[in-house]
Amino acid sequence: MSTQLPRYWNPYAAGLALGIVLLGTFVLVGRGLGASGAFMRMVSLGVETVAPARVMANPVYRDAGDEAGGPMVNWLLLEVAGMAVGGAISAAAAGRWHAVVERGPTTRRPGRVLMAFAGGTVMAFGARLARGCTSGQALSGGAVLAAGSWVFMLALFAGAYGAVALSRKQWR
Amino acid sequence: MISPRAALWLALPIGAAFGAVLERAGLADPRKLAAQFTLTDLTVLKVMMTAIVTAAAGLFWLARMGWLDPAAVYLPPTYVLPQLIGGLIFGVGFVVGGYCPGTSCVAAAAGRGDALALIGGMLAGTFAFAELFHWIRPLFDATPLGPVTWYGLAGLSKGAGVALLVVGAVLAFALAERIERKRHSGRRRLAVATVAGSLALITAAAGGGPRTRNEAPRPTPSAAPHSVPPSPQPQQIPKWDSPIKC
Repeated sequence: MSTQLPRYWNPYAAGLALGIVLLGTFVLVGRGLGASGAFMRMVSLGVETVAPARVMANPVYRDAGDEAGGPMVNWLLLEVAGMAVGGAISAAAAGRWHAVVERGPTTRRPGRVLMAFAGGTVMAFGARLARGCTSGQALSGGAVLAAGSWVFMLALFAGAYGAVALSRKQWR
Repeated sequence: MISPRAALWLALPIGAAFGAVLERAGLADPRKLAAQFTLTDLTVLKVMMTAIVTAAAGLFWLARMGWLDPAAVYLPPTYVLPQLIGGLIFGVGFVVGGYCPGTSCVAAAAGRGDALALIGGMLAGTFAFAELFHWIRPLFDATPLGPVTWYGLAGLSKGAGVALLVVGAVLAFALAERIERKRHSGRRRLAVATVAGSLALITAAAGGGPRTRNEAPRPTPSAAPHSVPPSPQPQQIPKWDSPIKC
C-alpha cells in the first residue's frame, strides 16, 4: 500500500472553515457541534424498543430521551446524519470514495476490524464518562474555553500518546 | 439564536458542512489521524486549534459588538475527575481504533469498513456504560465545578482568556511546523500570515479585555435595541445539562 497521503486542504485553511462552521452553529443554535451524543441517543432508542422499562429506570437512557432533552436530543442525530452525507459527497467529489478496510501492509483485515471495534468500545466509554467527545468537549467546549473541556482535551492527547505503541503496528 | 424547532431544520446542513470540512481536511483518513500521534503529520492539532481560535475569537467579538448574548451560548459544566479519566480512556480508544466519533461517521460514509466497525464498538461501549452506570455514578458525578471557564477560574477577563488562547495556539503551530520540518516556501508564507493575523487578534482582544470583565452596558443609545442585559458569564445556567451532552 502506498504511503503517500492524498492531497487535502491546507490544515490552517481547513481549521478556519471548521471554525466558521462551529461559530455559525453557536450563533444560530446556541450550542456547538457533537458526535458521540448521537450514539447515546441511538442506543437509548434501541433499548427503548426492546425494554422500555429499562429506559425509565436508568438516567443515562432517560436523559437521552425526548422528554428530558426536548427536541434538541434529535438535533445530534440529524447533525450526525448530515455529517455522513457531507462526508460522502466530499469524498466522492474528490475521487476519494473507496470501499476499503484501512490497514498497514502487514496487518490482516480481521485484525484491523477487531482493533477498530475494541477502540470504539473503549472510546465511547471514555466519552460518556467525560460527557462528550472530540467534537462536543474538545472542539465545542474548547472554543468556549470551558475548564473541563480543556482538561478532557489534554487528557485525550496524553492518553493517545501514551498508548501509541499499541496502535503503531496496524499501520505498518 | 433561533427556536429549537428551527434549529432542528439546520441540524442536517450544519452536519453536512461539518462532515465535508473534516473530509477535506483529511481527518476521515485514519493514517492522517495516526500521524498526529506518531508526530509525523500534525494536521489534527492544526485544524483543531485553528477552529477553536476562530470560533472563540468570533464569539468574543460578536458579544463585544452586542450582536450575541454570551449567556445564550451553552457552556458545558466541568467535572474535573471524570473528564480527566474519561479523556485518558478516550485517547487510548482513539489511537487504538483509529478514528474519533465524528471522524468515524465521515470515514464510514466515505467507504471505510474499519470506521463502520469502530461505530459498532462505540454502540457497544455506550451500552456498556449505561448498563454499568449504577457503579460508575460516584465517579461520573465527582468533583463538579459547574459551568466554568479556565480563564474565570484563573480570575482573568474573557479578553485575556482569548488572548492567552491565541498565544498558546501560535506557539503550538510554531512547534508543530518545527516538528514536521516542512520547508515549503508557500507553506511558510501561510504560516507567517497566520502568525501575523493572530498577533493582531491578540492585541485587539487584550485591549478589549477589561471592559467585558465588568460587563458594562454599551454607552451608545443607538445600540439600545440590540443591547442585552448584563449577565455574569461564568455563572450562566447550562441549558441542556444532561449526561448525553456531547
